[in-house]
Amino acid sequence: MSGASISVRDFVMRFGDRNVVDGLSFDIAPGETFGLLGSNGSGKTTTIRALLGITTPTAGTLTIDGHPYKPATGGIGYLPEERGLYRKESVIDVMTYFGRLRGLRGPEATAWSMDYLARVGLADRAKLRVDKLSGGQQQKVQLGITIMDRPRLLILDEPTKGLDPVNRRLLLDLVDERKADGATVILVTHHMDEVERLCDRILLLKDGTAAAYGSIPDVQDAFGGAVARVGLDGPVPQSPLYRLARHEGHVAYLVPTPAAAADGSDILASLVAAGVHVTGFEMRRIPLDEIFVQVYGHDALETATEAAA
Amino acid sequence: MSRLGTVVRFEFVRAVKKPAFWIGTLALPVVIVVVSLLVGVGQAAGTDSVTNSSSASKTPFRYVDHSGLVSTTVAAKWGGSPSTDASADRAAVRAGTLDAFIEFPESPSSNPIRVEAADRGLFGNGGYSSLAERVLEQSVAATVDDPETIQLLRSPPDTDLTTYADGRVAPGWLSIVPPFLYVAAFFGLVILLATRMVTVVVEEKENRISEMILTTVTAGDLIRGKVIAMLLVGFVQIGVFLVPGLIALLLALPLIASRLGGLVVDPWRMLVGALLLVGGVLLASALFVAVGAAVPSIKDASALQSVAIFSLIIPIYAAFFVMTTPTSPIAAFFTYFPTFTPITAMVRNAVGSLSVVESVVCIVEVFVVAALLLWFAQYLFRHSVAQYGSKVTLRQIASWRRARP
Repeated sequence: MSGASISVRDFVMRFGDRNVVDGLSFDIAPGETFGLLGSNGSGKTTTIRALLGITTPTAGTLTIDGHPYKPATGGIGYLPEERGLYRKESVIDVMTYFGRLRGLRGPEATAWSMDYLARVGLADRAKLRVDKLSGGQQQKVQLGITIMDRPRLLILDEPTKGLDPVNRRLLLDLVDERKADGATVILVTHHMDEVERLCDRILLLKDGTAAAYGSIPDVQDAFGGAVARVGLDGPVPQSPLYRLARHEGHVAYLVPTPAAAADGSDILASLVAAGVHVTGFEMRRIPLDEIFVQVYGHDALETATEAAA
Repeated sequence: MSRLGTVVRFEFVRAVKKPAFWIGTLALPVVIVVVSLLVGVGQAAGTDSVTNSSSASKTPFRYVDHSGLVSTTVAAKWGGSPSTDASADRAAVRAGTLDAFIEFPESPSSNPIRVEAADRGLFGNGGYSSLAERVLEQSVAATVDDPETIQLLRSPPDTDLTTYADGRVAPGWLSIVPPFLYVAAFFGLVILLATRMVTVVVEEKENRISEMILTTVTAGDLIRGKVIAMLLVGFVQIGVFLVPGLIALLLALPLIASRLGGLVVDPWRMLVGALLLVGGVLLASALFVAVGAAVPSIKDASALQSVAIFSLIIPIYAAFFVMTTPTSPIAAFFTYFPTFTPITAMVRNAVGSLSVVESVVCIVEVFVVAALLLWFAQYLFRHSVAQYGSKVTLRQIASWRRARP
């Protein structure tokens, strides 16, 4: 199976007198896993909704496989940020309904659903009403509906938001399976560890425009490339060789200035010379969450708090 | 099966498979039948009791006759005797030693007969009036020899009215019954459909399903599917109500057939009524769907839903005025104001005051308005699909129009 290709050109979305997205352009290749990142209100969900035809763009073109998406096209699995189910209906009826809407015949949809429910340990809950399931069990059903009928394009908007660790693992495994099957995946998330684990390329949105776009190494290089991760006791002294990016407990991240050596040896030397008790020192690529903080500043604090919650 | 068909099937099946649906559907006719039986039995017993207690019976009484019409023989037959001392007899009544004192006026045709009597309770006291009337009536009848005249005095004659219009016998009051059934059907469907229509539309937003489902089906198909499914559910309910009614009608037909001579079924009025009913139900459905599309939850819908119901059924209260003055400006307003049209036009059609041209205009109007409202409901739904916490405002709708490319 080949994944879907996506093209967004000069996309503008205006709400009232404000452009929520302003002239955004990017492409996603078939089979690629693409991270769409940004703080709250940066335009991520708006872009996804416009791509799926749920909302109408003010300007620009958004296409999947060269055409604006229409429900009749199918082949899409979408797990929105705001998600739920028909609470008064049975699990199997809800899953079969979505399967039918995806173009499956009734018996096929029911059979697929029963297989999935058996896999995730909910076979005995198939005939229960959705509102009789726990929150975690409902999440599993939502995931099942999202990946039903092996979609060529999987769009996951804050997929791990509110998920317990078991369901988070299940989701990431399902994404891996769809990737292995050749599907294109768009991941909208605040969790940089998920992005680093899953994504081939990323787009950082800020105020509706692209703040960074490319492969993860390319984006890291664009934001300074390397960072020194230092294990230490006590405060970090100021130095022209680095800028303190973050200091949490006994770990500090120092961003080298152009005056510093590429291997960071002079940074380590200056710390030791300043009397700092260094317990560890490693030069690594700048983490995505550090880039996130650099791009979004104070906005990132709110986003990070929500992501942690 | 198409996506539209899938939506219709899902919404219809899940509505009719719920026990609560059948309990609610069957409860209404059962309650109506039981209450009607109880009221009927109770009324029969109560009427007999009231009739017995309020009918004239032999009662000891004294009377004064200023009219000269009362026969002492007739009065004596009912227990009466002429008074020799009116004041003493009145005092005896007050003291409870005499049942009644009756004073017949000089001109009973223009002045009331005065009766003073011992209290027998609200229903029993009617017997005194009957007694006084019987005594006078039979006294007068005793002076007439002709039995026909006596019968006419006792009960007025029946009339058999036949009127003509355009050289043919004009239909009477019973002719309005068949087309008036459409008004009853519309009223019932509006009440049955209102909450159901709003609920099924608002459900996707309230449960955060709308974004997921709109990647598999268009807003138009989703809304149309829900409307069709709920109309089918409404027809099932109407069918459940009608079947016992039709059975009862078939059983009662031999008993009432002689009274149905004036029942006329006018094909044109029935056709116009049917079209107005279908268009009116579509218009009402679209209105409720628009309400559902504009709110984030069923709780938020109650105020708007009440306004929508009110806007559809308020012409019921103006029906008599519209029937009696169909050419007045107010009647015209009620006839053509979009949400008033179905009931007003159906009422005027029933009584025969809706001309052919007016019928066509009203039918076209309800279908066009229904289509426009349904389009607007889809528009609202599609644009507010991810608006989870607040109602759609007019300002927002204006901003959607401005933001269009």
